Amino acid sequence: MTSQTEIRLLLRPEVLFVPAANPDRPAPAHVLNNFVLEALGRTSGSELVRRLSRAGNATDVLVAHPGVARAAWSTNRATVSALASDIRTVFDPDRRVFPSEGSPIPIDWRLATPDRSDDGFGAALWRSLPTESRPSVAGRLHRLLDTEAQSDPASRLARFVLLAAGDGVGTIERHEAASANPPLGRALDRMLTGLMTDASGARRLELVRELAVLLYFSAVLGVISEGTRHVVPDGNLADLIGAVVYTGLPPGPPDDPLVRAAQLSYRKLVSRAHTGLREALGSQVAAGIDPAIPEDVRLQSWALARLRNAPAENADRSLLRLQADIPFVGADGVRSPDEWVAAAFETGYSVEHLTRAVRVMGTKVGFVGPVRGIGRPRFVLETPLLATITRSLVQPDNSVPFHEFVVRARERLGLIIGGSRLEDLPLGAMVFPSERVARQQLAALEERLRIRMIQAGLAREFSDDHTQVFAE
Amino acid sequence: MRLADREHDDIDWALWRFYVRMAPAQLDAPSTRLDVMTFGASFATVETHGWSIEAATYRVEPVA
Repeated sequence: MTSQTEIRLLLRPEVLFVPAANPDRPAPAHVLNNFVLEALGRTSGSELVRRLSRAGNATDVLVAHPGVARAAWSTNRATVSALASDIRTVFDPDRRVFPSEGSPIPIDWRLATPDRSDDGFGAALWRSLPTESRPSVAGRLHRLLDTEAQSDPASRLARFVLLAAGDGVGTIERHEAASANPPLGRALDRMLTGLMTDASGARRLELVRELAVLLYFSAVLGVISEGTRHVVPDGNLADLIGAVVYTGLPPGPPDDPLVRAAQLSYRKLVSRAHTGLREALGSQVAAGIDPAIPEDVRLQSWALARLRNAPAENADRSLLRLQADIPFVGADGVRSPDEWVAAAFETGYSVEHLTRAVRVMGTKVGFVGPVRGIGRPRFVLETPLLATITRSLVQPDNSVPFHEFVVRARERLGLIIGGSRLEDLPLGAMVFPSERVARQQLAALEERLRIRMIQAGLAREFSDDHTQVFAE
Repeated sequence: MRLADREHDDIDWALWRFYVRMAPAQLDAPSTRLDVMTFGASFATVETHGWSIEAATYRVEPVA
């Protein structure tokens, strides 16, 4: 038995981007729903997709729906069932809505539904945004996810679903505290500003999907940077991450030196993030234990107090699990706080767990590969993710020179995808054996990316060898 | 679909992309009609339902 859940609870609420015991569970739809709820509040439209398409009595609810009631066809159960099934196809393409709970794709913000499956990442992302940016992000989100002015049939179906709702808004408590993760929040703010442009029809639906991908990708960046943030408190994402990304077509051949660099970078970053989490917990223990309490129960009483802060958890039971897995008393007597924290991150929340968590989360949006179990994990950019990142980095400019795009990816997101023109090598480039090799390999990374972006229609090469990256 | 399967572990995300990509002409144009395609096992069969959604009242009617 391991105690990922308990250690995660001990780290919260100061440290939010920590994967739970089952990192496979959070999906982009979960994170998007909870982010929208944090930004815009909950309405009575929440749960409607589930009630009209997945609940055991969905067809009965549909027959009574004001948009169906008294229609001649409403007595035909097969047609009503077909409507329930089609509502699911449109709003639940990811199969994350279940008969009792779930996360639809909120084509309209009023359909956003709370779901604990996101392990708190949606709320953590919202709380990371700079306080002063939150109103403008909420405004953009509202414009993107409002179907009132939309006339495409999918938006009309959303209006049909919402007919069953009243207008109650804002039952969720708003969190206006200072940013929980300022470096990530600043990066997310800029990316959202770039991505959330006015759109209609199919383009708007595609933007909603891209928004879910971008938020989930940001959550992965949060996991990688969260621990390090407590070691380098004033850093931005370029300082905290510095991930060497394999820019060829993923996942890439294992004997390619660029693939090996991306694998090494992955291992180093996850290990650094793990060390950072350990140090964050160490600082919390050092600041939180009460010297007036007898030494033999000092750690337990600190842990119990922290666990009691966690809502909906049984603190006493959590403490027993923690104690069984990571005893407060060792063979040589009572463990010191440092010894206990070291043991907690060796056996309780191990580096292997974090490695697997970043991998399963990263593969869901095409940031880590390969998808299947064989081959060591590496940072990659699958083409759909590359397109989303491109739009979010290039806008509000319509286009930027290719080398500027490479610089923005490094400075804003901490992704090393080139760097042939850099005077100083980024710290993350230390995965290469020497500076000369690093410069050669970064130039190779950059060239592979340039060719891929041209082939994917994200960039255009002109006759004077200049390459320009376009937002659309 | 196979390509999307390679790109994403989460095949369902690919489904939505498929849905969005397959119907842009319909989704871009203001329309009261929505056609939803459902694929059978192994994609051997395709079932299509058409729905008419009234603009002002959002009442739904099946259409052939």
